[in-house]
Amino acid sequence: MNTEILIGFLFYLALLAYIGWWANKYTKTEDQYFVGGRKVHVLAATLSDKASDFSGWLMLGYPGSAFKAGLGAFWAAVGCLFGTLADYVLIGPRLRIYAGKFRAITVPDYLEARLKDDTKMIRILSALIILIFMTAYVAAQFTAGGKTFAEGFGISDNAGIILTVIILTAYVITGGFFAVVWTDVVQAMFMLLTLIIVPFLALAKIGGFDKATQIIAQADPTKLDPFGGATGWAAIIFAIGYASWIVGYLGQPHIVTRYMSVEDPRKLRRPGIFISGTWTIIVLWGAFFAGFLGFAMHQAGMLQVSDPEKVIPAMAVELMPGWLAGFVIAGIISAVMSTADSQLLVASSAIARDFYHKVLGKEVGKKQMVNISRVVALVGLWFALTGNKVVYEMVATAWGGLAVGFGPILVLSLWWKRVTKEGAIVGMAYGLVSEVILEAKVYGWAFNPDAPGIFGTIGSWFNGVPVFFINFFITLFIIIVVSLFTKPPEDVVKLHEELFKKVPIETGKKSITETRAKSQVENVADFLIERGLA
Amino acid sequence: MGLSAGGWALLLVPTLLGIATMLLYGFWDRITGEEYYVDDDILAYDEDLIRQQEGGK
Repeated sequence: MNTEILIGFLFYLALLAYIGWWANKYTKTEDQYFVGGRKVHVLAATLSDKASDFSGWLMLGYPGSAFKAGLGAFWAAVGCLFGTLADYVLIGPRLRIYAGKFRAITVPDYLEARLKDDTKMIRILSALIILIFMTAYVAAQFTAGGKTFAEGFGISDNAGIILTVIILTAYVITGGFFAVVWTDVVQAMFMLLTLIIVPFLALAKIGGFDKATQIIAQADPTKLDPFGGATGWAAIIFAIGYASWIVGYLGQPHIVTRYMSVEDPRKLRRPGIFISGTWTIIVLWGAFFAGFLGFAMHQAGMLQVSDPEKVIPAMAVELMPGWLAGFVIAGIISAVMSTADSQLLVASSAIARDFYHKVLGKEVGKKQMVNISRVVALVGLWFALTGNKVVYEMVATAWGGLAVGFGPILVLSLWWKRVTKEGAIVGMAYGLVSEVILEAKVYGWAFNPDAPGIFGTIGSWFNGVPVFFINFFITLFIIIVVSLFTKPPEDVVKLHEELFKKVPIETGKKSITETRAKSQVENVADFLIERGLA
Repeated sequence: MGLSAGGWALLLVPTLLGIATMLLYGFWDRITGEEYYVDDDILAYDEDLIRQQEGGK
């Protein structure tokens, strides 16, 4: 084990712990962060949204995909960028307005109130979707953590996975919740720096971009083709296969709840979309080029990579001083943690809040909540240890289930006044059942011709396209059809019409936002000035 | 060697379109002179909800 890497790793974790402890003074409880009293500053909310969105997938899964597929993998970046933008255009401001009106904290809260569902079916379906797919998502994060430890410290993947779970348990579940919004912001900035520095160091090592492409062309010319060498219909399917991440953004509970906590829905338009969009562009370019150039380094004999998904930690160890590589490895681990802990809690709250509290009417104490989290973590650990350990595919499976379960109903409930609870129940039930069957039993995460019978024929038409992409539109269609055959309550339709009426923008006088109490950022700034730290 | 024109188009065209989308949406209220109606009820701090929430990051 490299001592310098270990020192850098421990120093970064200590720094993060200090920032978390310090920021915690202003975010007294994790509960306060979750909704933040709906006063989380837009900068923190948007960067925290991205830190929770991109994690093991960005630092391991996606560079691994670029390593294997070459230029064509950039279509995934296209999907993620436009998915991020679609969240702001289609979901963010309207969801925040509705959340404020209904005092909704979670996505099931919002859907139940918006569709006036007194049967509790929407809440039960939501909880099931979250529980199944969020647990799978947590498993993907454990795998990502395990791979990073394995590459950085020379241990096995399974030992790394267990180490990740032990740290996460100590760090989050036992009550040491310092991973609040400001640590997310620090992690977002660290991911940004890592993904800027690593590709430039790789370029310097290889001897320029022309040299890198020359090496790649000699190894496999299709890796320089935008469609991986495919033509015609196959090229379109190739691009859709990678870019399909776009629809998934519309249904991720751990991402869209960030919009519900922001102080003012209008700030999601400006500066929200600029902060989030710019950060996303930079990290996606960085992650893509890390994998792309990592392949060139590997071909030139400059880099040993046992697993394509370990290319960034391997490049950090190869290209950076030991202590800095330790920082990068700690950065990946903490990025994994920042996503895993929120996913773990969303999954746990599906049991605690949606089943026990809202459906059964029983209160759940903190101790029981901790025990539920432990059970979810153990199930995630089992999936991670027994799964195929390909982060890209594991994330795609979980991402798809959440996308199909929540995406269509979220978009329709925010933009279509005629959507009904019956449409939502049928659509969400279809989404849940079909995703479980198609992904677990028929195809796996993507269509393929190996499936039995008619499924194999369909699989050959869409070979390589993730199951969730097609299923998203089928679910959307089902909700529309059922809604057209049923009738929403008149007061629900009237509220929807009134809520989204546009008014001339305020000019001159101070807005309500400006005159009200100070935001979290202003409080932190005041503290710095008071202590003479700035 | 470098990338082909198609390769550069894949990298640059979606990125530029993304930036254009950001700018257009970011300033859409200025362009149209209209914005969503947001009142005190929607903007209100929900201190009472903080106490109710079990989970969170």
